[in-house]
Amino acid sequence: MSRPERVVLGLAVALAAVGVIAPASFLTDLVGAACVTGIFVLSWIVFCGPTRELSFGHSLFVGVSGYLGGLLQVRLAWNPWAALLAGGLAGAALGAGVASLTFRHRGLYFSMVTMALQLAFYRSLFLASSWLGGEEGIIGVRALAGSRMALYAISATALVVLSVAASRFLQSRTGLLLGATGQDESLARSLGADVPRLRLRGLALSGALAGLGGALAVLTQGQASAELASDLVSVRILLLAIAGGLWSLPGGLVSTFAFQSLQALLFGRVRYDALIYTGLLLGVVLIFPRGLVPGRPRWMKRVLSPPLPREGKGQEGETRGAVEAAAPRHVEGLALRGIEVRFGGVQALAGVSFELPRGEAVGVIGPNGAGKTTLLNVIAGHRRHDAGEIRWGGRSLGKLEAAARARLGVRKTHQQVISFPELTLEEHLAVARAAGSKGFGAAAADPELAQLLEACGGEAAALVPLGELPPAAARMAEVAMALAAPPELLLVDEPFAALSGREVDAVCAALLALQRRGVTMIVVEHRLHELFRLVSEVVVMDQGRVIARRPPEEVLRDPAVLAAYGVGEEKESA
Amino acid sequence: MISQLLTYCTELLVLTLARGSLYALIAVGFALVFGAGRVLNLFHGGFFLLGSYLAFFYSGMALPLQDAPRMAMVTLLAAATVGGIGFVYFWAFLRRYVGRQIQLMVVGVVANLVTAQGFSAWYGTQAAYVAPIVPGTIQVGSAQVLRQQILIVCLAIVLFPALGWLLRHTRMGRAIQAVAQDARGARLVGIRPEAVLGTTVALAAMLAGLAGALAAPVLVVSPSLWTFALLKSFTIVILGGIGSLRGTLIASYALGAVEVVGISLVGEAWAELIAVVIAVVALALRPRGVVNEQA
Amino acid sequence: MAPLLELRDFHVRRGSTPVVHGLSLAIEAGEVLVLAGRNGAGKTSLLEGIAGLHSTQGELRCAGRDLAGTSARQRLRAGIALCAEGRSLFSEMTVRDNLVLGGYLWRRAEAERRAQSFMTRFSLLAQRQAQKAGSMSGGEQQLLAVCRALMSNPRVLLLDEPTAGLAPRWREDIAGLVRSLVEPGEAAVVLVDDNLEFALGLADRIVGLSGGREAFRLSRADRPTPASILAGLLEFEQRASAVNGRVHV
Repeated sequence: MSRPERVVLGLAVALAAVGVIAPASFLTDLVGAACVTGIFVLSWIVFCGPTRELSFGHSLFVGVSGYLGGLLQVRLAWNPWAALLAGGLAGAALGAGVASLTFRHRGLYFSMVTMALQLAFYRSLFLASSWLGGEEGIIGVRALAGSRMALYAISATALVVLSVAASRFLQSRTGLLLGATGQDESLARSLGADVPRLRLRGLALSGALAGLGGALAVLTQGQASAELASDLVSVRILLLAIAGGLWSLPGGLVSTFAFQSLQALLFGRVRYDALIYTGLLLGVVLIFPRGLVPGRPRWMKRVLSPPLPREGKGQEGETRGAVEAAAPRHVEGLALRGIEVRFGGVQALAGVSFELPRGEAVGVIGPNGAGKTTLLNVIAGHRRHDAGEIRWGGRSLGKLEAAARARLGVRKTHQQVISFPELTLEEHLAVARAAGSKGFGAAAADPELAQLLEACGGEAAALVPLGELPPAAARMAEVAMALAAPPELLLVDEPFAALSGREVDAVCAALLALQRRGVTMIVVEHRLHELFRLVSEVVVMDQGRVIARRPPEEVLRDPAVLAAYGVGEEKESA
Repeated sequence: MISQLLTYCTELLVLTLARGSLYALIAVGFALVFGAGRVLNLFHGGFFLLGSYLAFFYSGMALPLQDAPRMAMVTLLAAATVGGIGFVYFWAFLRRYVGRQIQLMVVGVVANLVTAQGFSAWYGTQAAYVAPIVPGTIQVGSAQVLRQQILIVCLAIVLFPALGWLLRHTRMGRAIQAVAQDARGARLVGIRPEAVLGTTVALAAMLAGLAGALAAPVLVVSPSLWTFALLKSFTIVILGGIGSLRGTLIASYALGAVEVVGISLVGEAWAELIAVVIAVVALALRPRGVVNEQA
Repeated sequence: MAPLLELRDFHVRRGSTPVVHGLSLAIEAGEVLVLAGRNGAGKTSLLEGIAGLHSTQGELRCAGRDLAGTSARQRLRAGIALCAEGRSLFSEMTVRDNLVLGGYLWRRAEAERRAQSFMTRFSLLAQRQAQKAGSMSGGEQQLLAVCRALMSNPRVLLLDEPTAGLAPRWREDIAGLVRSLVEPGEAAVVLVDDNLEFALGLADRIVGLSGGREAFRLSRADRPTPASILAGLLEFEQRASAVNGRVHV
């Protein structure tokens, strides 16, 4: 049982105990209301936790569903349970709608859009008061049950059930990938994650939870007041979730119950109780920036990744091994025709054409500014080309974005060090597998993978967030992700930069192992000695053109190549 | 028939100008601050609210002037006070949280709530009446337009070109632009981004305070008014981006036009919501790369 | 005579990551010092650290003045200007405004006068003066960026990758600017450039960096070539990885 689930079990026991000790009392009313607030907080964490977005508008979902549930019950005399269900569905639909509206908005813009939608809806509630009852809202809603105790049981059960659902979601493939996109969206995309779809699912679930909570609030209290949709509710949800432990599900529940009890204590006894309550919450958020229950969200752990390979010794992959016939060689390989890229006034690529059959590995060298990285970016879809055609496996890639190409098996590693800083190495491998990069042959517990992990710092390092390890580890993690979920075409950009001897050997061995498994490969690298161990041919570029293509042993004797490097001497250092 | 159409169009135009000018006055400062430090100052709504209530407060004070000069004085005093509050707010709170988005936004929104609660504790939630600088209305087609609204339009016509000139030609204005375009470059030429941001926040507060004081006779002044100002600022920044004064102004008048048309079609209640949705969709459709790996 | 720029046990951190570890350097007036090393060796971080963009530890003196713990603005006042990698131009402003802003710490009239003198010197900048900086080609932007850094009349110019992605004709202009700055013997240049031919053509001394540490030093008398620089780096890395190996075991 995972930690969130143990917390939920504890919660269920505690809620039941409250019901037994003080049935139908002030205490059950209080805890019941806290349960509803807990559902709001859950709904916030389900989306904002993994994506690291700050939604300032969750009371929009709460309010819309609450009003809808109330209206359906009062005006159309629906059964309260049907109204509750309709509220949940409306929340889901609204969540999906907001996700589609904001498919391009991240960070500040996302916060702004959510808050704008909430404020606009809230203000509309008052302007449409003839219809929605203004400040008073909708009154006389028939509750889900007649007795206080039954209402308490419903609220408590709902919180427990929805907590389990939220925790399951966060541990699912979608939750894991959503978490990866929140850490580094471009890396997640380059692994093949379909970010808009993931966000749509996440926000739809979040909206559904908030909607159920909102409808539940209305259908237990018997009225829908405008306060439900107010900015105050949005801000409280956000503050409770953050105060609880910065996107941690158990933390959110803990802080909800702590602060709701506090509010009950303050209510009616001191003046400005709402201000004091909000001020205290703010103080907690400012003084404990990591929340009351700090700690990395552990929900992603051990989700999909099989245990790390612990055995097996690294092979010394000194030379390029024979290609085992894993690659479907009859399928077309990579074909580039007349690729041109301009940026600013510079022609970065001036008509690059070459072909690479499946299962082959080619190196690309050339002076700085020759267009090597740009070429890889164009093939992987990180940069648009202005003219020319790219085909892989007989299919034109030109129109596809990077994530779609990754799902077709075309992946690039990054020149700069890039990782999901809060995820461990193990979780990185899980993300790579979950992102569903197409490839042949599932990764086994490879000796090469073990060697790479050993070079990163071994078992101990595998359990530490990658952001806390040296940059070299992140670079090796990218190669490890390729090993864990092998693509068909791997574009490797300076794999050895800033690596030292042992690390270079491990990366070399990993790349050779991928080649043995039939992965087609293009490698850009300044260190020629290491590069020549990896490839059977070298393409030389200069000023956006291919000027030579030779086997490694001949390439440095080509006069055109020497001329490109300027002094008749290979310039390796960069 | 044609004359009817003409009247209708004039009516829409005047109403759009009236709304757009007020919105521009509110949003320009918000956009400047957002540009200068990628700081989402949610307390901007509070600045507007402060402007309105301070106008109410000052208009109850004994001043040696009467009528229009008196209310003009009240308006300017309110704007200046809010500018000062903005300056203090930046150096006392905001400065600590620049670069820490969560804290920055949470502080801003809580500051709004506290301000609003403070005013409702002081005066209650009923509407506070503030006298206009120029009383009376004029008739445009079938619509009545307050003279105060026409004053706001006139003020906008003078103020925004002047603001543009200041941004282009003064030392501080150029520093604001430099920080917005490349903060690292700005540091390299000796500009202190923090000082620039502080001045920008004070300027933004002053403009929002001015807007609040000018709008107080036009709107119903109540503690929830900050949501109005913040909502307009959001919508305009979402619509117009943060690049330029011009973008903000165009977006302001566009929002005014959408709302005026929306109100005539679907009524007051949902026009605002529809305007927000239109702004969000417009930004989403604007072709712009999402993931760009620099080569 | 004290060196113009002096670093002693100088450390640079980028965020929480240390990137330059205890470097000591002395640069005399009138010389061009080239920093060589692979990607990620800490060259850019070192220049940005000297210019005051990152938090640093250790001693930093310019013309005898202690600059440890000072801001970027104070370092610019003391005569240290950085022409940053990626240029950091104000791309929506005109060429002329970019130049004038380079003299932000000067009086406006003086800044205008100096901007004019750069435009007289490079007719290209004069032709483009009303154009937005972002709309120019890479080479034109680079020339503008170097001129903007020179607007503050620095005694130490830190030049980061001035020829990246440029056609050969621009290299001459930039080399000319560097030479004219150091030749009177008042100022010094610290240069980082991947194009070693270009860098070696200007270098009086070369310091190799690897992993944020000094790998080797060469002076003009050593007749440095790209190959000898590579050899220096390789030798250092072998020694370092031998040490690392022991640490790992």
